[in-house]
Amino acid sequence: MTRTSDNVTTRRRLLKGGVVSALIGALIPSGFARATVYATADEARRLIWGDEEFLQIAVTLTKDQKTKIRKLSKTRIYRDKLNAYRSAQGNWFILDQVIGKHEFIDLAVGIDNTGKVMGIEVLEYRESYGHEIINPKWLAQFYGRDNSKRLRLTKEIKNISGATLSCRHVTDGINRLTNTWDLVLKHIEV
Amino acid sequence: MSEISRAQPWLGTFVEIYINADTAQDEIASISQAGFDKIAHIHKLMSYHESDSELSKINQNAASTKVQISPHMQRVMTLALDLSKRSDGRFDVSIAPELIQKGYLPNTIARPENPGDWRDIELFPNEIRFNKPLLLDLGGIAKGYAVDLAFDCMHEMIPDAHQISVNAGGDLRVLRWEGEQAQIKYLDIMSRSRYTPTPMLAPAMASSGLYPRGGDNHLVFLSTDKRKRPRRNVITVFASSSMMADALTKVAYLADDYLDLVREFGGIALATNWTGRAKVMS
Repeated sequence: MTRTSDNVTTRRRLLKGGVVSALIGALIPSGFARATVYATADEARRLIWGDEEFLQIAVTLTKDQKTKIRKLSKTRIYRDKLNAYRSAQGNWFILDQVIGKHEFIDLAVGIDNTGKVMGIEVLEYRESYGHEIINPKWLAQFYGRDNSKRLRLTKEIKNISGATLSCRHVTDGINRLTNTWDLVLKHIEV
Repeated sequence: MSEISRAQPWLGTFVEIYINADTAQDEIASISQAGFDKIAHIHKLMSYHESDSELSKINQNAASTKVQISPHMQRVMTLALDLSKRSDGRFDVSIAPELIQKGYLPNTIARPENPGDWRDIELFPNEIRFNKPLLLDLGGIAKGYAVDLAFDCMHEMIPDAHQISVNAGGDLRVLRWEGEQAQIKYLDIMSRSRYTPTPMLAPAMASSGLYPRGGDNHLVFLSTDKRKRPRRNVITVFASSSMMADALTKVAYLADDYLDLVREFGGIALATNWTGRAKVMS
């Protein structure tokens, strides 16, 4: 008796889970034509900086700083808070997100203590069909999410050939970060 | 067994490197770095956008004097000019002035009034000269060359790897390609990106197509040329090297009547239409 009811509950739970994930599946993954995962944030840090140790530094851009950076780099700034880490040598490791017209790209960028970009690793690339991006609620789910976690919907497709994807938005994003370094990060006292 | 999968922005696109080998993780990480270093090197030599690249120096000076060139530039220009000759100029790296005019390239170096074409380029051992003012853009061939260089460098460092692949925005080279599947990206009738699977037919593949979201600017220009109406098909070429596949897709895309040339160089051309059906061009 007990066993049967347990089974029923389990089955119900499974069914519920199935329905929920099917719903999520129907709502979210269809938004992406392609999503590819590369290095994790930790791997990227090691690839750029080896064993150098980093500590997270709380950096929030002021309105004034944002305006200056926006003008210098000619790019939009979506977030005030930086996901930035600094080593004792004064080198920086920054986790950032670039939002293009049709793509979301998670990046890891290393900037040394003279402001030179020492490495850029793409962590995750998501390309959308485009129509969801105008919906701010849909966009909101990507802001400020923890980089150690990943959306479950990613699916890697290997060996793709087709039109060349432009990395212009990444170039703009790097420009924004080097300007951020120059205006803000450089002046933060150790 | 360890593997690594990385991507970095280079050559105006994203370059992916994948390695799978019976080697320590640290070692494949440094091998992949050596691959990216090669890509970065070619980026710095052949970028139109960087004013201190070797290409920019050629563009600035070769019309007035002989300019010394690197062995890399020599190899790329040798194939480019050979293809120009054999395709009667349908493949032509002196396309930059037109691309500037159409707004696809910045006008950082003054656009010549009556620019010359491939016939005005003289290539010597380690030197180049233009007999008429002209501007080169290597966007149709340099990515493939960079992929080959990175691939060969990594393969040399780890000859017994289970798999090595380099993909520069669709210019793809794979070590163990037999039995591997690739995906050709195309646009459906709603202009949404779709993928269609195809078996790899050679170690390297490259695709060309007209994409509304901005694809290969050479094709955008040439397909708006009066001689050629834009086509919706994606053309994929399989070849023994990535540079060859890269250059040959342009030939196959632009000139049906030059398919023999693709075959002469050992290439196989596929056309994928908006329904995702791919067929061998003949």
